[in-house]
Amino acid sequence: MAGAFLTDDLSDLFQTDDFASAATFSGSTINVIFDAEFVGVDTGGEVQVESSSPVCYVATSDVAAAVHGSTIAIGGVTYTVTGREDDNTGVTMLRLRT
Amino acid sequence: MTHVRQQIRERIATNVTGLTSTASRVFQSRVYNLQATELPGLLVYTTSEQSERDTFISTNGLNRVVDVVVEGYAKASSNLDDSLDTISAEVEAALAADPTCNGLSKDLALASTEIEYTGEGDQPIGLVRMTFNVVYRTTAIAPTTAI
Repeated sequence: MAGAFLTDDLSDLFQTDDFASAATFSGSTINVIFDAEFVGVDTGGEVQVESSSPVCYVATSDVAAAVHGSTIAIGGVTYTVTGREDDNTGVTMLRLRT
Repeated sequence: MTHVRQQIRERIATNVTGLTSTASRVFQSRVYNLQATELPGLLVYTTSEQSERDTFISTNGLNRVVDVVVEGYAKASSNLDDSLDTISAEVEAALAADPTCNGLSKDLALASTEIEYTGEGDQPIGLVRMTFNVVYRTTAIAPTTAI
């Protein structure tokens, strides 16, 4: 269980006037920090395929129900959750696909 | 004149151009990344070749077997396996319809198929890698002419 000092300021971290953006998860509006870094996908073939690796960082308490296959809408795009990584200090990273 | 291997590769690329799934997204010997807009697509390579003299007293005849690799790439959030199998079926049928590569080769046959998937990226991406053995013959001094 994370100490309260770790979670007290999470709402500040996820302010939309800084780096976060609004998202819709399970009918609720939550704030997430979204990233979609470039990735060259290696399929084992002769070349890689250019793509991106969408993820979002969110307060764990906002996505307690998130599992693989859950959906989250960010910036008008609906993503499906393919991975959930809790840091056990109050922040969760969701790996996403379109 | 160009090496018969090049002529075969180009003929095979022509034969797999215009297929239903991959249309004109066909690239020979590509070394640069594929973009999302180039999927589903096909890459054609000649990766290795075995050759041997047909007899010791012949006129320098060489029997050759070149491996022509056709890689099919697809990206989809569902039924990716079906997409790859469809690509495979289209390529196999197209190449089997011209086993002599317009007179360049003695035979062409599918030797192996490998399929790979990955969940990296914003959608699943899959690869079907088909290796065709293409048998052809030249003389040692004239590798640009099929005999």
